[in-house]
Amino acid sequence: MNEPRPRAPSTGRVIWLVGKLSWSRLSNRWARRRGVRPGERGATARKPSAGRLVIAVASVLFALQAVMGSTVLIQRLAATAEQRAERERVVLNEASWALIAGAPRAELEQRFEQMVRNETSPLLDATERQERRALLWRTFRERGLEGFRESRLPAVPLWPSRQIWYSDADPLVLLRPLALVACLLALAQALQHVAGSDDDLSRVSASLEWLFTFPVPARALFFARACSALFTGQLVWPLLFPFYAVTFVCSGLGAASVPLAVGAAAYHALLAGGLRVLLETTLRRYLPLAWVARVQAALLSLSVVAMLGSVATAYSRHVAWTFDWTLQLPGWVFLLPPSLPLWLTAGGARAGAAAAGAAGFATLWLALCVYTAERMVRAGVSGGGGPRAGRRGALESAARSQPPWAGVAYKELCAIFRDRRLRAQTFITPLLVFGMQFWLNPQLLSDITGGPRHVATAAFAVASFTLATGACTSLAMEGSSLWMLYTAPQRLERLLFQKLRVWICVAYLFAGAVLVLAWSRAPSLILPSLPYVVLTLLGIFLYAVIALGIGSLGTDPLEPEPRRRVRVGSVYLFMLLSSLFAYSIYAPSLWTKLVQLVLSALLAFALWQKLRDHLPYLLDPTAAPPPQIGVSDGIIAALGFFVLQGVFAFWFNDGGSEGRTLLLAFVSAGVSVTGFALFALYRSGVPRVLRALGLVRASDSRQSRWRQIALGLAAGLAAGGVALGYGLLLQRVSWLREWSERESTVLPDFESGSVPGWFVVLGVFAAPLFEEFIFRGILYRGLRRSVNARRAVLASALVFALVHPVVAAPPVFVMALLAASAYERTGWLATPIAAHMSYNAIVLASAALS
Amino acid sequence: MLVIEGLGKRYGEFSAVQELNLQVQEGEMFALLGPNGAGKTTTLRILMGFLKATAGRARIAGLDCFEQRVELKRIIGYLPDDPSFYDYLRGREIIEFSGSMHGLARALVEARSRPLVERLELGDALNDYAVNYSRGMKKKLALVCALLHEPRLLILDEPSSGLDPLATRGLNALLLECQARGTTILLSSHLLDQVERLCGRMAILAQGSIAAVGTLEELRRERGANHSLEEIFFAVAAPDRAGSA
Repeated sequence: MNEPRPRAPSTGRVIWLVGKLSWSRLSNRWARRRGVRPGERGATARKPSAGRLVIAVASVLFALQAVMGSTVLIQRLAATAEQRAERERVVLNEASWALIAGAPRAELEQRFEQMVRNETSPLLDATERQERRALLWRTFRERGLEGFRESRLPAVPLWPSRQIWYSDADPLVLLRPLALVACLLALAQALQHVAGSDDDLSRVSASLEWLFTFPVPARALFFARACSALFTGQLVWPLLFPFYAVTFVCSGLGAASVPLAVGAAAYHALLAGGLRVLLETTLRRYLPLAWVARVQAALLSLSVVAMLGSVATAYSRHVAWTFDWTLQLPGWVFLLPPSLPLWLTAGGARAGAAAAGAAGFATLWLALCVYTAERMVRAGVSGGGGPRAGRRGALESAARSQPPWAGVAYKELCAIFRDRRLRAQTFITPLLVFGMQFWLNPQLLSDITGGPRHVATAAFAVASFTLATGACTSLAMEGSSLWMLYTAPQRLERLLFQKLRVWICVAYLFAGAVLVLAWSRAPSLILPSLPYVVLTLLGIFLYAVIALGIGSLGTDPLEPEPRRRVRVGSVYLFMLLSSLFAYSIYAPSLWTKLVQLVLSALLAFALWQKLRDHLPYLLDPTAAPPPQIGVSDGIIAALGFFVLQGVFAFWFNDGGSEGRTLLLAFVSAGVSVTGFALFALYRSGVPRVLRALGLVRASDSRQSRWRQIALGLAAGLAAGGVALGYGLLLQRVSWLREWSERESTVLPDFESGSVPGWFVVLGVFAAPLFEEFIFRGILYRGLRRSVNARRAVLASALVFALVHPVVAAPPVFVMALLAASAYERTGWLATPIAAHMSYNAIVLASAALS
Repeated sequence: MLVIEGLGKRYGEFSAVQELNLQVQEGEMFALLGPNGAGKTTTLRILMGFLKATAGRARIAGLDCFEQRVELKRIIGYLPDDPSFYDYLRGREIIEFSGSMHGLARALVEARSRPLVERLELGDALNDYAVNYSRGMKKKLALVCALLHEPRLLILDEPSSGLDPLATRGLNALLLECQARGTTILLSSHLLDQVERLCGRMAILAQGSIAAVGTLEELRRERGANHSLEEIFFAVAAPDRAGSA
């Protein structure tokens, strides 16, 4: 009883303890196996998440983009600085100068014209292109070559290097515009940290409330919270760090650049951490809680604007403006805290003073924020009440508020219109993002209305942006209430599709708005753009399914922190994929469009199938679906097959026979893909993989081996017959003949009336073996798992026909239909291989005979 | 009604449930007892098809709890230990949503929920957003949702935690009425007197498997006459601390 009470821990110790807590949380997230003795309860093991490779690739892409973006910015600023310093002459890059410098007098004008074309073609903006062209020609007419000089900077680098830095009399010439960019980035980062995490600022988080139950000073807790920004700031390491690293490397800081960039990024993180502590405490204390959520949404929107502003400074047409504008600013502006780390590029005493100043300011700022927050929470951490002070009305008013219809779609609509953050994300962010684009680049609107394809592409871009924020996060939005969907007697994928319908409507709404805007400016585009609009509407539907698939597969519903529930990488991956759809809008032929559309549909189906496999296991931290062959495996194998053919063709190309190279490349790609697919499926644990792929005959098969092969041969003969008839038709009908001659590609080593030996080996042996393995063995098997035989046969045949040249597609489609049907009957790959072999043999024989 | 055979669930190295065998008859009210971490919630979540058992099988009314989980949901009602709801829906809308998920018409949902809402004294709060409810209120709301489709089996994870004594009494009466109408009830609980009063049979879980099962009388007979359920619980679940009970 008389034991002395233990002393409360000191501030330093509390920061250490809370830091350790955050570290444990982080390491638990990554630790897959830790040394737990049998029977002892450790952190629950977690299943490996789907698509880690994909996320890794997306993260690398993002980091590369940040590095390249920063490099291009510095290069453009340096070029502007060089031009501004050179008052007399126009500065040309190395390639342009080489083109005109040594030109003979007679060719000079022609060479100059070519140089102007080379110089201006990378500029996407028509006005900018016009201005540059006018300047170059005016100078040339007035002063000839005297009006130009070669740049001392290397042309368009993608990687940071010392050489792209420009410094002359004023060593700070690049510091000024870069400081503006740094300020905007820091602002975006700080606001994103304050408002962008999924914490509802209007509620005190449970962990903070828990920490307040201990006998420790609030000061220590706030300090620890501010410091946690080093780990939790979302833009610190992917954006600020690469920006500073590139800047320091270019300015010549060498190996010290990386540690200095770490320091600079950490400095900004700490400033943001302090700001967050100060702002969230102030908001909670002094604002009605409903308003806190509104302010949070506004701050988030502001961070998007700051982010876009910083990106916009790197646009070619804004670089000069940024440069000139920052020159007019008084010097003290660049001594403001967000620009301090950039002074390290100045070197010497100035760099030392800036580092000391930054350290001092960070310390003071944290102290000030924490002291103020501590004073504010003396009377409690929040103003009280719930985030949405509910009305306690009588039952009569409740009856009035009842919805006319209910279900998942109604729930989703409620979420969109009642959840302030989601509402801002759905309606305000797209308006801001695209509004800013139009504001920064007024040329854009006239560019969009420049052609029917541009209109359709713009509509698709806006719609897919909406899908990236909505459909991608469909599952993650369910949050901790996901259990409710699991108690319903309905399959979860159906419920997710009901949610998806709402997002498709939202995406169509935005696409429609863009179309109306574009059409109202250029009514003549309405009719010509209609086919592209139909394609776009189809694309939006398919990409909505793809967004749902990618987003949901990248979601961990058991993750307690909402913002980590859906991986950002999967959203980027979706954006990357959706940008590929633009290709099908711009593709020259209808056939290519169709191929793109069907491949997109196949991708959507593959993702849907994978999602359907995973959904029953979402609430289980360790169980995963049993490994099975899926459509995604078929897509990967087919893509790998085509890509490897190109790689091997390049590899084997020794200038000899082109036919031999093609055959070698085809066989090598086939062997590699077959080997890798077998290994991958075996490693993933697909049960009886050879049997599943049809490589081994079922032991309980009632038909004899020869009967099954004969069935295949019969299918091949029938398809061959169709091909012969089709060939006759092509010859007899004049417009068909013209079409086939127009569309046919000439294969190497072909002389009229003969078929080269390599083509016989390829057609009769290699193609049937490898193509049947990929298209029937894997793709058809994957399709068949989720749809009935008729649909699987049709879909696999359609895909198979689409990867062939358009002229050959109709009989190939028939062959694929028959081969897949025969494969469905026997389950042994020898059957479709026999069909394919006999079909190709007939077609080749008829080609040789004719 | 419910048959569990050799059920096991491992999380990596850790075995949450092992070799669990149990049968619950139609119309019975059955309790799962056991200290924290004994595997009660894991067992109930396996029965709901949220988790996939790593060994053995569990069937309800002849349907496999994981493979046929969707069909099974037509006849089960579930109350989680700590229900959380969409923060953008009001209490009434959550009831509507839950009913529509089971394919019930609005009028039917209204007719079935009104008496439940009145009994559980939830009426005034239904216009509030459910995210602002206290834990007890959330439990009541989740219970209304679980009963809407008149399930044959009710799975309740600590139904009275967070409820005040008045509400607990109301809940007990409600459960007895459900049982009288033929509903089978499987509940986990730490309130031994509640279990003693309500449940015909019970199982005591310890370290993931069943340490004792039977009616109170049978358990008493095994441990010697006149023991209270609390004494039996301590003797079975924590033999080394039984003396201090």
